[in-house]
Amino acid sequence: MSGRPGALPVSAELEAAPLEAHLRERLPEREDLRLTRLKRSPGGMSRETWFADVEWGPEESRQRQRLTVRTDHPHGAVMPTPLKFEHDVMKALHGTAVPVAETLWYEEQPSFLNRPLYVRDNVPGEASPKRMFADERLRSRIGRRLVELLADLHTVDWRACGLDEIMEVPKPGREAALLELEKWKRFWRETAVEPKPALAELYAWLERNAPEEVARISIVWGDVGVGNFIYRDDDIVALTDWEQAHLGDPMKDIAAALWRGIEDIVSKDELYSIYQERSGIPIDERSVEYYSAFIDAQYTTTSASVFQLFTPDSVPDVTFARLGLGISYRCLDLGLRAIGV
Amino acid sequence: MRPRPDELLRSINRSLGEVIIPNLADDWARYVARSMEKIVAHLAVRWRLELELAAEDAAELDELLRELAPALRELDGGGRLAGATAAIEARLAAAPGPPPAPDVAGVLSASEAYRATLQEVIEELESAGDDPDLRARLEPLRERIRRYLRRELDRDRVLSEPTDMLFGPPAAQPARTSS
Repeated sequence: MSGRPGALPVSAELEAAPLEAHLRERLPEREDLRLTRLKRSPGGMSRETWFADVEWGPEESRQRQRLTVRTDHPHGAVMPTPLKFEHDVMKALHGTAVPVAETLWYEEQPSFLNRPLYVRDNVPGEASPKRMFADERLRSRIGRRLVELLADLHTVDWRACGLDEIMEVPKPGREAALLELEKWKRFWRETAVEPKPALAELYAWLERNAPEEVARISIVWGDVGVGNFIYRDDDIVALTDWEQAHLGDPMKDIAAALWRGIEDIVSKDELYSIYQERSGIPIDERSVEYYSAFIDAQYTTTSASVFQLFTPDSVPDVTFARLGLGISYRCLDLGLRAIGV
Repeated sequence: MRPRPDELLRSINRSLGEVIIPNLADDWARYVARSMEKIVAHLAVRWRLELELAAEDAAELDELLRELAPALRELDGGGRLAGATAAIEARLAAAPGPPPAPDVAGVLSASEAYRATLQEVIEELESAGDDPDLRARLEPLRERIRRYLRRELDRDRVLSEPTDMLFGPPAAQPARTSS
């Protein structure tokens, strides 16, 4: 596995040899760097995640590291935010009270790949809930810890870590919801392959009913759930999946946590009490209900957006069809029920 | 409903060919997967053509039988062709002509056009609703639209159930499962 990246053909797939050459170029201080294993993570659909095991140094004392490589799908992004945004959010949050993996570099146009990528350190641990669900004490501990981290995230000084430079800053009040809602509605318009009057009705309701009262503008994770954090032993060591992050109403994350089943690891009462005590931010249940319907619209939009990848010239992997068909209907159905339709 | 069945079948074949088959070590498993690939390709062609071909065939059969019946009657010597003639007459009496082939593409296209119009109407009504008086007067119509939207979703459920999917641990899902 060797070669000069510049001499390699641009590929639609992430391949070991050109990636190894890229890593050597980016990490010249690592003598005799070799890529020993490249494996795609089956989790997550918005983007591709690959684990790249590397080793380097003298034969008698080789050092090893696992890197995580994130790229868009070969067909393009399935999110309204570019890959660089996700990279920049993690870079800004690294070093705050919120544990995130350290990003190492972002490459807009790798010479060997037809899409951008970024590389980050891999945080050892597990994302799969299997072990956690088999151990009641661990499950409870992780659940409470997730709530604490959510509270810490929502009280991060986002100006101090520069998030206002990469995100729009809403005014307190309705704009906290409407700014983000407009982004998703625009994404729907740009990616829809067929009319969905039911989704138009849901978006209309969300526009009309945006919460007037917002306790504070926080950094909102946007994708709070089991599977979107890494845990090791009995602690959470990294929060992942930042592509939906934005500045807005922290109640959206509370809604997201409930939407994605946080009650399987911590009760709603505990969620509310731990969160309020640690963050000082009061829970507004009406806002939580509003954002639950918002998330229905958001997931209907993002899952249906994969349908734009089906064209006469290009038909993506069947997992895209499963995602688009499976989630978009369920979320739209739930969203309309939530608004009384 | 998008993607269309032929697009989904192509998508399955792509996954079979690019992800599954190259990673199958067992020869028999590869043979089975290759057979699946062929059948999926066959289904894609059937989706595209079967209705049209069957309609064309039924029309041609109808024409043929109608031509044969009088000819056989005329040729019938001593009743030896009576059975064949009777069979044709019974068939033609039971089905006085092949049913017209439903224009699936045409119906889907009309449905999309109607839905696009309704989507526009919903958005226009929402904008017009800035006036509280007009909003109140529009409410019965909006309610009528919502009743349609609920029926549309209920109608589509049967198509979506096989691929049903939500995020989160399975135990959390019943609470948000639609009834």
